Amino acid sequence: MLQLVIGTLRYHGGRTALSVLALAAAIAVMLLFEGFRSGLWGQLRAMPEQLGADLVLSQSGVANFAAARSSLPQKTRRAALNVEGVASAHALTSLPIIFERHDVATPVQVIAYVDVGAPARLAAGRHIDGPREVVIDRSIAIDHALAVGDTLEVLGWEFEVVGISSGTAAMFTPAVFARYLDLVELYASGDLPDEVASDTPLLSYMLVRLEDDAQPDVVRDRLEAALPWADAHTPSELGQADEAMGRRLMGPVLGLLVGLSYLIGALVVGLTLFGSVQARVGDFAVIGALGGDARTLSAVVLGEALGLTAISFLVGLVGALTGAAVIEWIQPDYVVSPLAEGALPRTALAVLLLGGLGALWPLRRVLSIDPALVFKGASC
Amino acid sequence: MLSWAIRSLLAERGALVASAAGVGLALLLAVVVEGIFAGEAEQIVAYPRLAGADVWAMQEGVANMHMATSFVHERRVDEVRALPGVAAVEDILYVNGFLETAGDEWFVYLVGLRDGGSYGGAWAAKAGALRPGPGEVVVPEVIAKKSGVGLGDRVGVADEELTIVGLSSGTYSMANPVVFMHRSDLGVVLDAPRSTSYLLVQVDPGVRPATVATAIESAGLELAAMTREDFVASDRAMAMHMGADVIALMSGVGTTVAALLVAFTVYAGVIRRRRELAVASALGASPRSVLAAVLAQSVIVTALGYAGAIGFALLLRPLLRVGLPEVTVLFSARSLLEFGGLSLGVALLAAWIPARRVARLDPAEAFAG
Repeated sequence: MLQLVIGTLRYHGGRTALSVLALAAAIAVMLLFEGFRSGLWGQLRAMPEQLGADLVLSQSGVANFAAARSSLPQKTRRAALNVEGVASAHALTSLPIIFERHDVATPVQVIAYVDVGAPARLAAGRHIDGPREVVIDRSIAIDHALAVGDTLEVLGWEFEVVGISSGTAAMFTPAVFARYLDLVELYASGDLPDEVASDTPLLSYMLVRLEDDAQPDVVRDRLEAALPWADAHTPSELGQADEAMGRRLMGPVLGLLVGLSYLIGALVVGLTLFGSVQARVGDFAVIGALGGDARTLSAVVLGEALGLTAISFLVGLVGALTGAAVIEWIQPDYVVSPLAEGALPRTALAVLLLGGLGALWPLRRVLSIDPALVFKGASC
Repeated sequence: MLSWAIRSLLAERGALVASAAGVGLALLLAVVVEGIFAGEAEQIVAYPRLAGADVWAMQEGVANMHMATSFVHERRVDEVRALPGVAAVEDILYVNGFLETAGDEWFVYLVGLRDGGSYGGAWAAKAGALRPGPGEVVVPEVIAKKSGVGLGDRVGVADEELTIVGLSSGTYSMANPVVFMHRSDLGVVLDAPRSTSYLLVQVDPGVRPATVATAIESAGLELAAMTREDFVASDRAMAMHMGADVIALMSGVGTTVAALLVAFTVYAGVIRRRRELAVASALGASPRSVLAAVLAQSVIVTALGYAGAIGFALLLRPLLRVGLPEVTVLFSARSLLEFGGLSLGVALLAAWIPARRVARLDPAEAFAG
């Protein structure tokens, strides 16, 4: 049976190739749309999760890292260090600005940190080691043609790019990492542009590291009791809150797009397999005339459909992964993850269901053909 | 030959329907994704577009609302009002922030309005008031619906608790829903009691907004000024980063795949009828007639698919408005025509390649099978 299926698919090579390409295109679009959505949620989660802290203190009532405006009083660090179980506390300021270079404007988040808060992954260069140095997200480097060693102007001051980070863009905003001391000096120098200075908190978050034997939940309660102006979160909680915010804002649109891609993609798969079987009703009728019963015919039709689908799935997967790489190259702000969050089994299920239906639909016609007519060359 | 082409298509109605459906489904995906992108791209700048200003004035160095903060002293309002060509000035306080509604947190544009203003606030109300007083807030109807809150309910902005007095229409987008509150409340949140953010300027009849924008920038007030069109364009360019260009990318993917599927469907249709066409050729039809017949068949299949796709897409729009109010879908005649042109071009190209081969077939091969 397998030989028959493979032989038939190979015999009709041109038609098989066409069907595979059509099916693969439909499968690729489902996986790519899933990839866009998963990539966005992943980016939102990743940014606060890589802060390198056990707990993060924010202004009371602020539960997000992305797009949030948190302002903590300067007494926060000392108060945090007085709490039992806290090993160290590190200031971090998160500042949204519009970075402009050579007439290209990009919204970026300046993240100024002390010791803790550096990007987790570097694509090139090194971490900040001295004054007036920055690490920029990969997308800023690509969009503005910047490399390690170049200088750029942030908030009116010149900085040297010493590293390029990856996975440091969230809520569509890539990050620029700088030394906290540079921000303080900039603020004190009076050089900070008015539009920024008027709305700049000097301390947005406090990154807290715990003593080795400390229980995070216990220390969190102690911190919130001792610092009533602050809330304590684990980085993972901030990541989840950012993802939830992204899902609330963009979930309906992306859900609709992904749903449409499934609906239409699966229908295209069904229709293509329907067309493929329909075009070869005569061949199947010959098998029937040669003694193949309904079971055999069903197995041949389904076997061919399954073979086509399997090849197409592989081609579609390769297409989706290639497409994702091309999109990330064109638009480095985005991560496209076609394999994340169960996209593969979901797509496979949709394709198998509609594909099976599309292949079996014309089977009724095959089974109803009089074998005697087949060899007379009657229209099938 | 044309009537033969049509009769030949109609003789295999199942195949015709399948081909047209294949083309239609592929186009439906592309058309709807493009419609969602167009809708969001418009909605993302709904506030600067519809707030009622001919000219926007703001702090020097600022050219956006998205990702921007603008603070100017409130005495600038009277100074701009005194400039020639200026008919009216409303000023707003503005900041990005979070709205807390019954356990949900929404990232929003917070706009603080003065009492008694005639524009700058919500432009359409689903229910209640268009402008809030102290302690009050006007929220997009979509947020109210999704969060299960309504008029009279309490919501939070920073540490302030405000009462919903109005539900606005057309103020929601996935990147920046607009929430209106009294400027005294937002002033407390921002700790900026004597500041204002943007001046929304209306010009006298017959005066060009660009002239007034130039006058504001030249008046030595340390203000930047842009016509509404320029400000909307500038803000759109920045706000597109806020998710809309993801949809643009998805639209690009959808259109590419749609074009491929249209090409496959039409190509496969010609290949399926190859023998029949070769027979027609053997019976005396000229290569040009055979080519014309193939192209005509392809145009018919594509046109049917296109019509079906547009019909379904237009049917889907009101359904989405009810079922998924947070999604704005916009179909422009131009983009629909562009999709028509694209699909037709792709179909003709996909049909042309096998049709030329069929037209050149030796008639003897047709009868040999």
